[in-house]
Amino acid sequence: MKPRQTISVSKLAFYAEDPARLSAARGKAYNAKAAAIGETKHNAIGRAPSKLLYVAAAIAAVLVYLWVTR
Amino acid sequence: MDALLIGLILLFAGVLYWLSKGSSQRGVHSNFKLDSGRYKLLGTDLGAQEVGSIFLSYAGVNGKPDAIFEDRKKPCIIIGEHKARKYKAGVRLREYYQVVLYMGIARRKWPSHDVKGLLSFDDKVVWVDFDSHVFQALLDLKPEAIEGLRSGKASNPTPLHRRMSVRLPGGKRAA
Repeated sequence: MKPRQTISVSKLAFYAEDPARLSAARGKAYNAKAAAIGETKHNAIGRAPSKLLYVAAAIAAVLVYLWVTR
Repeated sequence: MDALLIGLILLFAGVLYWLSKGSSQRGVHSNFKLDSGRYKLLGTDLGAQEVGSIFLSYAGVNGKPDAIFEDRKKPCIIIGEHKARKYKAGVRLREYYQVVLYMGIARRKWPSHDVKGLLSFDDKVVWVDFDSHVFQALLDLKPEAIEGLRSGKASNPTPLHRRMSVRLPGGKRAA
């Protein structure tokens, strides 16, 4: 198998900061828990609202209207 | 009458959804403290699913910046990276290197544009100037880094800032 010739920006940046530490970790996150928290926060920024929520709210509004006016 | 009112309810829900979709994109702008009227969001790797991410690649170094904006008034690209922490002790070396790498690759993708970097923290944003010497040094480090990741041992454990002079945003020299 041909050895890989590409590297991600983040791993190269980590390597430049501390070659020994990143090599020892084989490129894995130093702190998996912190990485997971960071990922969650990243995904929350600018997230579009759930379509499902709006569909459910609209159906609920229609049902309430029908129940009130029957 | 019933059908009309039900239709209005559904229309109202649709309009609300459409409005909130627009505000989600503005959420990315506000995260970087940029005016959404002036800066167009070209791509993002953050939560805004309406705009896809942009993959940047050059010389075997690749990745997706958190956000790429284009200035509507002049040819300028802004590379945005978000760090989910407070600014506290300042910009870390790896954060600076990451933005410099993205900026260097973006300069090749948009050769007629000026390219700026922007790091956003929970409580502050910091502009980053491009340094071609640091960018080249990072590219030169690639074979060594790949070998280090493969073997689990760095052939040269000296960090980049001890091999050359690196100035962090704000002019502070990395020690």
